[in-house]
Amino acid sequence: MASDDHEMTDDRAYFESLYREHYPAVLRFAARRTDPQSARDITAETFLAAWRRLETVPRTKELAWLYTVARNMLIHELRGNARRSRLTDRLRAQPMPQPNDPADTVVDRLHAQRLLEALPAKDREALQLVEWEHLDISTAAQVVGCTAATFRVRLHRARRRLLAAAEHSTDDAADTPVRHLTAEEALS
Amino acid sequence: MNSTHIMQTANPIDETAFADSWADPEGKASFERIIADPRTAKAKLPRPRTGRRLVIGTALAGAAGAAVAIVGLPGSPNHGGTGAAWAVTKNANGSLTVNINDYQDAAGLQAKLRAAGLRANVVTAPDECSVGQPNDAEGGLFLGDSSTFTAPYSWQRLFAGSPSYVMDGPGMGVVQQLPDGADTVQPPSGFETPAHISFTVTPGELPPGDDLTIGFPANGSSQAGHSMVVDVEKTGTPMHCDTPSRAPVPPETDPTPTG
Repeated sequence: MASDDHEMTDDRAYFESLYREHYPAVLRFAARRTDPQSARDITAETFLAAWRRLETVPRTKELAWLYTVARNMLIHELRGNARRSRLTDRLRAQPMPQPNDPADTVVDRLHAQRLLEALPAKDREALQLVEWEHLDISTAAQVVGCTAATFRVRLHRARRRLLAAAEHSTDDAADTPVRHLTAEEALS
Repeated sequence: MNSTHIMQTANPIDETAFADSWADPEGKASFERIIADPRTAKAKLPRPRTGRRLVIGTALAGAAGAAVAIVGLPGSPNHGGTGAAWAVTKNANGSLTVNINDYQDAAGLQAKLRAAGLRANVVTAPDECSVGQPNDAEGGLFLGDSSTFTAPYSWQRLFAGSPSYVMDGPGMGVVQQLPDGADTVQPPSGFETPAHISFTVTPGELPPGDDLTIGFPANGSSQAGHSMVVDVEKTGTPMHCDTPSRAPVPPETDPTPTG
């Protein structure tokens, strides 16, 4: 019993350090991909899974493990919520700009987000993990469950497609009068 | 302009955001709830197991939230019935390929699998069950398809050689593991009932202390709302019945902040 108590104390201390160190990163990961409250929920569920399976959390790859769990919970949430309205989906996909953002920044952000949203999901995910979470190739591959070689190809393709889309949109812009998006257009 | 610049512009959450979120009221409340969760505390002694669950759906049309997944095989709305009910093939690498054409003779299949060295239970769900539920309260965690299916534990080795797991398209298959506490997930679009089920399992990769439980659907045949289950279970805790109406996460054990 004494050893059990000791084990529980060790577990709690380890979990608390895990939580303190990685909660912000997991929350950012989730908040970039869903609405703020769902992001909190998914982060909490991710750490609950870690608490329940503490012995399976790889000590040298904790954050990758947490991202993997959070990612799969996000997939589950998005698939399981079929009744959400299209508008809500769009709101989730395109977080509202910060109120203190300059107008040009808002337009740039919406434009960049549109380019990103237009990519195939796997391409988008590859770019996000590398550019937003700053994961290296092998860690990102582990998170999405593919080989590093596959991920490398996917990332290369994603970069190419994103740049092609950006160039194409610039060409379009040159041919049409410049105007700012309305809020309705941004969310449609 | 390069892709990094576009991505940084599109990033809705700054890299320094939420730096102290673990210590804010919501972060702290979440931590305390996880630590104090009675289900969690109970599961710590003895240690929680890492339940993993592979659910092979056999009929989903009209069964809201019921069955969950199939293994990739040519689809057919009707159940097969010609030839043997099932077959077990031993492969050169020690794996076993299990083909199930008809959900009959569960005891025979169980004996065959055990004789081939696989710790297997084969049970038939009672009539009222849409899908048998494991006794393992942990459930599974991961959900995905051929490219996103993530198996940080032993799933990929255990089921290596099984047909590709593909999410989309009629007659294609899906393998999903359920999030903690969840009973059901939504079927993908384009789902069709498979004519038969086939998977490959390597007995030597089954974690010590676990059994592979195969749950035949109720009535021994595929019907709308009934599913086949393949579930890695702690030895001695075979599948039991549950209904699909239960909430995905039991409220009394849900540690997730609400509202």
